[in-house]
Amino acid sequence: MIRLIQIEWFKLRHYRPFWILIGMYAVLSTVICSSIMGFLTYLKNEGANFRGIADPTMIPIYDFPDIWQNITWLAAIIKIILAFIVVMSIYNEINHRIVRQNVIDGLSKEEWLASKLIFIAALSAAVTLLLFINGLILGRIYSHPDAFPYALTNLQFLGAYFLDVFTYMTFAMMLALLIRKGGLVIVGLLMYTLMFEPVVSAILYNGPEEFTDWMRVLPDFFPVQSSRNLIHFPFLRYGFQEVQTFVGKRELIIVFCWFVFNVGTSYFMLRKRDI
Amino acid sequence: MKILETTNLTKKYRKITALDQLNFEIEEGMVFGLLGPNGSGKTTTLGMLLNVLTPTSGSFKWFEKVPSSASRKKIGAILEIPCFLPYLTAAQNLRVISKIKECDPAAIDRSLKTVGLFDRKDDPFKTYSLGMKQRLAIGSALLSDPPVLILDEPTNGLDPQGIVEIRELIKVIAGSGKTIILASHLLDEVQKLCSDFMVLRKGKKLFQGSVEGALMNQRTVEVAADDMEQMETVLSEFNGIKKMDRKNGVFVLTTQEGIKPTDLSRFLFDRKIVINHLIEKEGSLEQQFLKILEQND
Repeated sequence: MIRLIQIEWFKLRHYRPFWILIGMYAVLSTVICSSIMGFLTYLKNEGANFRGIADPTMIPIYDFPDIWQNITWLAAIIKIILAFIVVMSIYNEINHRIVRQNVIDGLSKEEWLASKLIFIAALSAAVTLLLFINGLILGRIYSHPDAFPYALTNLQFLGAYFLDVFTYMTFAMMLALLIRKGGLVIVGLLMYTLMFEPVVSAILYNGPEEFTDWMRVLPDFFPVQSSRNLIHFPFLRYGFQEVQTFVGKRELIIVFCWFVFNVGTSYFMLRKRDI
Repeated sequence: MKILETTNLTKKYRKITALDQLNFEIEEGMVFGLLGPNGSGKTTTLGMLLNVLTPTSGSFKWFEKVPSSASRKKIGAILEIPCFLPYLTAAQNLRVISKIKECDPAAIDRSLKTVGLFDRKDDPFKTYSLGMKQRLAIGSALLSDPPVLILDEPTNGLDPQGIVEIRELIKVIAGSGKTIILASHLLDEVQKLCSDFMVLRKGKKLFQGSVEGALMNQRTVEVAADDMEQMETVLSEFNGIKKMDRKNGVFVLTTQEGIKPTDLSRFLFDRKIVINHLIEKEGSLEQQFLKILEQND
């Protein structure tokens, strides 16, 4: 295990695109999470009337424990950057025939896959930790002091965020091993994640009367939407009092199935294909 | 001990059969040459033996055991082109490999010194010339001091001096008792380095045997005299000539084993023929190779 971590670390430590993308994600996720207040201030200055609330900055976005669902939902928007990191690291190895050379040198294909999974898990843990720290800082600044005792309540959303990015990255890994062309995978992933699936999901979820029930639940099983569903859109609570109190069991099971599928397919391709 | 044994190893790519039912064995300490024209299945064979290509059928054993990543750790191998991460230095690349092979990191410097790259060890791999890349590949194969080395076209792309260096290096390694499998399309290279060889063509094994034996078959003696016609009649009485050709004004004789030029000279002298030309010529693998190909056409 330590050996596999070291191998992966030696490979990535001096890989500049890796650090650039990591930096991009860290900055963007911090900016997105902390800029809501700025956005609300902007609305206030524009004189927006938000469902009767005269001052939008009064909306308790950063109040504990609601902050956890709010920022995890927001941060998950840019998780595609994390997928790019995975695709680049794998494509880099396929392109330079490193996978092949590693196997020749005595790394089993299982160990290679394990080293990538460890890397993905570590990356997921790191971005979750970053989000946790951001949440604590933002909460400390903006949360109503009465809510401080609830700072560590509802951390399940951080867990859900971890699972979301982790599963999504295994999806990216599977595509990178399946298609083996870095540019194609990145473009495909972009189109699929940001255009195809959201559009199809929106159509199916909000489709006309003729759509049958099973069509409406179909997007719940999509590879990206399913893990997106772990954390519901949080801001409805301020208008419609719609509150997600816990991460759903059904969603968790679907996400787990995708995880198994992604890793299983990756393994199958490493096993059966010439590398 | 048998280092390697294959049983009906076969690889098919759609309609092309890259390797057809290959059976061969390699004993400990052999320097085994894998000969064949480009596209004859050499790299395909090695790829399967190193678990990066999946055989269509057939099997093989390393060290008399079912192959595993543990057996590959005891093999140092380069396959086709040198494969390293371009943005890492030579030392960093070998560091990754030392972790994979679970060998002492101190071996890195030793290996780099062996292949003459120690001075450049902190330069990124992408700044290396082809010859240096090739040497680094050999260095990485030597890293864990493995009992078996697989070298696929190790002198490919090297300048003449580099070729000589690498060949010397291989000779030294072979002298240390390691088993070496050398794939090459350069007959001269195999002749100079190998103890045994196998010829592949279009995925089929045409021949396997010792280099010495093959050269022995090809040893010739050239002889000429002022009166060639007279000599021809006399020579036909000499026992021990397998084949006699007249080429460029000399007779090229393929003699039986144990016949020395002195025997021939004495024989002719006794019959009052004074020779003006007598040379014993070592055979070359090239002749043998062409003969093997011819026989199988």
